[in-house]
Amino acid sequence: MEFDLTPIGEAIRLSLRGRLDTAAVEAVQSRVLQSIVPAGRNTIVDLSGVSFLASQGVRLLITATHGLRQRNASLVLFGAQPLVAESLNLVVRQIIPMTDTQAHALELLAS
Amino acid sequence: MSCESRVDGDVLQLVMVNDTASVDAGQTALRAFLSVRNVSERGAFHTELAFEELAVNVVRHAYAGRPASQSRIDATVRIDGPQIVLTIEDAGLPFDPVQAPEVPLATSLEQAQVGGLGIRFIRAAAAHITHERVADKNRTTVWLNR
Repeated sequence: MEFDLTPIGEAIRLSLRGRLDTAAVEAVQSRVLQSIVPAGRNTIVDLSGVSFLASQGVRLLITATHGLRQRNASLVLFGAQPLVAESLNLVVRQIIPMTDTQAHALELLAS
Repeated sequence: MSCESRVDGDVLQLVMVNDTASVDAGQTALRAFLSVRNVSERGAFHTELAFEELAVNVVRHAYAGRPASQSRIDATVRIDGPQIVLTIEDAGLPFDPVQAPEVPLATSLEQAQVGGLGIRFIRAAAAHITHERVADKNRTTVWLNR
């Protein structure tokens, strides 16, 4: 799994690519969290490059959302491929906002 | 990392050990197997998801704390007409994913737990699941739509 960060105004876009399975998430989790949580900026997460998601990947997203919430910041997911979106809808639909486009994700951050 | 794989027609057999790197190697073999057997994108995704959650659960819980070299996980994947049949077998602590209670869905971030998601994923992916405890081993079988 690979990731990168892009500033968008006052927010940050975290782009994830590859498989969010257990081994991949274990390899990058601490770097991902360290790169977004301490700064405490509103964050949108681009999932369009994620081809597979297991529970460990969901845990990463929940942990990041928790950390940002404690710093009065929000996290919104966008662009998930259909099967990844189905998995996310199954477990986090009520706790992490998710939408189709980056523009709408930024709108949700502002709302 | 250690994972032995063998393909015999439409059957894939994997022998893994007690660590997530071995499960990851098993995933790679599983993907290669499914990719040339006319399996739908959804069927492959769900099979990989059930495999991942069951095998990682064995590593984290059934074999928790045991050395990798002493803890074997066997997996068999069989193409059976319109279905894929996945069987995972381990000699760890008894665990029945059919009877295990499902963690209630969180309705707020404050309630969200980071555990218990795997069981929900397995049940959503599967068409049918059985579990048996035989000769001090867990054997879980999952039927998935191809």
